[in-house]
Amino acid sequence: MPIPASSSRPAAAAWRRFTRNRAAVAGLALVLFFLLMAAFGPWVAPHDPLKQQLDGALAGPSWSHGLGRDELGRDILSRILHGARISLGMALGASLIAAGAGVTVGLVAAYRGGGLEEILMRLVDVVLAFPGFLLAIAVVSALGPGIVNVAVAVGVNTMPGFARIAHSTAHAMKETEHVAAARALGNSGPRILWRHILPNCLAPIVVQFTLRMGTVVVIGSGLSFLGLGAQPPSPEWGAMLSTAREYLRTAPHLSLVPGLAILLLVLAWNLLGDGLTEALNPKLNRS
Amino acid sequence: MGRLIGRRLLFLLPVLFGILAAVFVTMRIVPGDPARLVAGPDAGPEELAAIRHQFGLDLPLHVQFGRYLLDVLRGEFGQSLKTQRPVLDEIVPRLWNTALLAVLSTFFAAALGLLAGIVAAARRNSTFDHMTMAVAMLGVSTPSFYLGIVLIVVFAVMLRLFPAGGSGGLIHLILPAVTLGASTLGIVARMTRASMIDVLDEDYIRTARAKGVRERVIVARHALRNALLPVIAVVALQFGFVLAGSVLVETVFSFPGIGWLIVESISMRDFPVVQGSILLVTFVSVLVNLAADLLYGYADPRIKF
Amino acid sequence: MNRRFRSLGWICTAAVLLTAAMSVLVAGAQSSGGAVVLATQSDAARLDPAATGDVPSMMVQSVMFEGLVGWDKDQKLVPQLAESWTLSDGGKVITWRLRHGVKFHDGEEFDAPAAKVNFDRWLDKANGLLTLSQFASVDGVEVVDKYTLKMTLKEVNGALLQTLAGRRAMFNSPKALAKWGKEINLHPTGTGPFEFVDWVPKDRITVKRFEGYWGSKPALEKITFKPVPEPASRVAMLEAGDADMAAPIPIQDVARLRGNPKLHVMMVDSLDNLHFALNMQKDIFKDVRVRQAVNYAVDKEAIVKNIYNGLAVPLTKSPVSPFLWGYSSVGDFYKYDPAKARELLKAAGVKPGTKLVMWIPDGRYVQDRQVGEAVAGYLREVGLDPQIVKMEWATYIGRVGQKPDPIAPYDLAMLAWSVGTQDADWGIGGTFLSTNWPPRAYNLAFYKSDVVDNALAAGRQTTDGAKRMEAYKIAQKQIMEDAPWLFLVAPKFIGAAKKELQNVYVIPFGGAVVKDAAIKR
Repeated sequence: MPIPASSSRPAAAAWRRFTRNRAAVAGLALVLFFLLMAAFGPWVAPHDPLKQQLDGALAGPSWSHGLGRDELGRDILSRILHGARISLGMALGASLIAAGAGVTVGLVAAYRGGGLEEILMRLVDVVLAFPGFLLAIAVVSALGPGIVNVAVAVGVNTMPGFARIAHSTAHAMKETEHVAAARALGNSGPRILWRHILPNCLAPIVVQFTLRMGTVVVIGSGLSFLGLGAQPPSPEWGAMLSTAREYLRTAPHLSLVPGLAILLLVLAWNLLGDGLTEALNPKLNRS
Repeated sequence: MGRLIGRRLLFLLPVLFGILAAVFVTMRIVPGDPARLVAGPDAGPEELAAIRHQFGLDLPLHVQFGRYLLDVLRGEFGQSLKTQRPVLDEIVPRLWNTALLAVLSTFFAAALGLLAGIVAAARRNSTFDHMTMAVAMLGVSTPSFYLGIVLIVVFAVMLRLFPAGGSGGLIHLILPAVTLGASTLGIVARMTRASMIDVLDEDYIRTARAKGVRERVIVARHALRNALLPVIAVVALQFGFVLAGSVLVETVFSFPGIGWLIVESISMRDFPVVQGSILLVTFVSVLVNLAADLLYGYADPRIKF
Repeated sequence: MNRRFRSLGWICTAAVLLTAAMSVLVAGAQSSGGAVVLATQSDAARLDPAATGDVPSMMVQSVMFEGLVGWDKDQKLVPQLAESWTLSDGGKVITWRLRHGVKFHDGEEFDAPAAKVNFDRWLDKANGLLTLSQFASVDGVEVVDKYTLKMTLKEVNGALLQTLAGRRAMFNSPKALAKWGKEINLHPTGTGPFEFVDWVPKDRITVKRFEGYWGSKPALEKITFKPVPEPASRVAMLEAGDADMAAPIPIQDVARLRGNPKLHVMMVDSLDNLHFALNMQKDIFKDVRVRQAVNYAVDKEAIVKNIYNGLAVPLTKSPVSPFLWGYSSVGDFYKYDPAKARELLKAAGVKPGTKLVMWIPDGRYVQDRQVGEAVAGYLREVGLDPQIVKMEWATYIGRVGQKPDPIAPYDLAMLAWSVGTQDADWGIGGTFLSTNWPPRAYNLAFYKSDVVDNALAAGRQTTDGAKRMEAYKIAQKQIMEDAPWLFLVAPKFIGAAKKELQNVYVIPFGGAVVKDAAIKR
């Protein structure tokens, strides 16, 4: 990816600002931790997350089962470790769908202009006007339950933000000399979009990506919580939280653990997103 | 200003139409037969056919849609397939409940968040500032359904101070309102702080300080007024968001709100209720957003229409 | 600044006042004096007995309505609005002598013409009521005199009496039917000990004592049925005193409630026979060894002990619940034996890792999801690869009831067949008669057995109780041997109430009976 020559110094400065921000670094570390968990969790897990043992049901934490056992006697720790992959996979998938679709729509709309631009951006507005969580529920209800459909639903839900950013950035760039020169050189529309406009949108898009990740994780696990996402016996954290509700009084550890996992994951992305925003836009939150 | 309102209201129509069409089609192509649901498992095929005919479910899709549109324009939202009562009878009390919850939670969260943000900005980088921002961050990051469960475990089960859910009085609103308000509190606190800091560094504030005006007066009279603007917008937006996203909290607390009604009705394939409630919620959302824009414009003398 | 803060102050005050005002609107019913609040699982769907089949609706209807016959506390058939009846013409004609002095809630008298109006309505195809299939064997009724009704059948039906006791055959006042037509659902007018007051959808249904009741006047003045779908909230309401009774109660809370001196817990064997139907249209389940293997693979006793805390009956002696009329214990089948299961699978040529699609409804039956997952775990342990597909009830019941196209997509489908007639004819027939393959009824296994078909026909065609029991015994034995199902459990139905609330009980069909209840202080 060609970095415009004028921005190499700001990039280094941004990095320095980022590393000085302790919260941001903590966020980055936590995100990396979860990514590692997603990648290697299943290898590290002490038990088979699906292995049930009915007469050990609802056991509390012990030496052999660090976080206790669930209502079918399965090891909670192992389920959490396996679940990271599902939660992160869903979130990344949804975000990529949102970013991919949104950026494409935004760029095309800005570049082509005219009637197409109006229609596309109006469509984006309609999606945006639709009351958030309900849109995701409606999409999942239409597609059927399952973690893949959840990713699609959440992706559709999150798409407008990306579309708008891409659109406004591209719009701003459209009339610059940079683009005019490229066009004069005979570059075609798509090529201009890809090589010249897109790279300049990248920074705000990446920031948007991390900022929205938290929401994506919450909506995705929220859908599983409502039973519309991962199917049993999948150790998805939202689904685990949902089934644990029946045992709130008899075995609260069932609900506390998966919820905490979701919280930390969301917190991680939020800290990272905040840190990135500050690093790239130093005017905000001067301290 | 009049033109803005007009334009936005006009925009409302295609949005509602689009959403209605989408919901209408979606509900009818997914598997699940509402007639079967109404009749129960041991109904025979003749009974099912009769029920389907009664509700016009055996008509072609575009005819059904056309009829529905005409009805809606006349203010008729049809009858619930399940209870055969008018849809509005089902929706309005629940919408009311959710609105009440949304107002309560947004109001107190915004008030508290505002206060916290102001003080944090005034005492930049102090322990208070760091702690407040940490709590705010937690508020924003905690999934509402998790927070609700934790609050139930602590306050309803262990301490027995509040009911674990349901409705029936003011006390049933408190835990759900706190749960719903947590993210608003976080957002408002952070936003207020950021906004205040920006304003406090402006030249005219420095001038006032140099002139010897007391700090407290500076904060309250000068900074606050200008810092308030983005916060107002955020609060209004949050209200709309909460109205729609309340379903998770309503589920956890068994609160009889509109979010839960929608999920339930989708489950039951009760088309008229789903259509009617999504329509109304969207309508309210868009109105709230419009109000937010207007409020923002009104408060900021720099913005002209 | 002052202006802004002052207006802020006004807004605060207004908000608080508004909130207080709102909460008054949201307030629910309170329990006091001779009034009782019953927390149930869901709101009634309809209040017209002829148009409903679900437990919550029937629970409310049964305090307001009565039929020709009914059931007592021990589920024995007793006369209700009919004093006596005689059979003639080989059982094809039933002559009913009706009770005198019975009034509907609107003052109309219950007599043979009133009964006829109701029967005609039920049997009229144009009304599309659920009574059509229930009373398929009834040709018509005639008024002989003011209190005598003659019922003619197309064929002898031994189960008819039970069907009439079942909660669909309850009478509405003819005057009300004429006045309200299709809206009768919202204006129930029966002859029962309580009359309708109001129905706030999804919030409550209230009934009050009917002073003109023909029988012994109920002790309670008022009953409020409050739907509380969240089991935890339902229990919390009971424990906090906001409800006088709650049913059903989740298994997890039973031990704690039993230890509470202010409450008493009631349970009864329900009619729900939870099972997985094995789709015999699929090649894998055409071999009886595979079906038996699946039964040997699952430890039903462990499920009863750990998932139901002992509050269920394993279906090892019969495919139906012990409380169904017609139940017989026909042996001890399929004790947990995973080694034998693996052996049978190998003998039948089933490869390890064979995929099986399992359909499970979510939240419809007690512990349905946990049982489904547990079964999947057991099947995994004998080398199969179960894929769970969980659906919420609405979608589920629609999809399993569909016409196979050409064969049903599931390998296993969970169901519990509980019938309002409490009789083996529909109780066994609904799921095992070869004519009851979907979409007609719920023989989800697509099972066909001449032995069973003949036995069920024999049971229907006589009114001799002993002969019927014999016939059904034969059917049950054949079914257990053929194993068209993975037989699971019949969970108990559990309710709990305040100690002072006496004379309440729960019934096998599901739901609580409160019409004879009294508050003893």
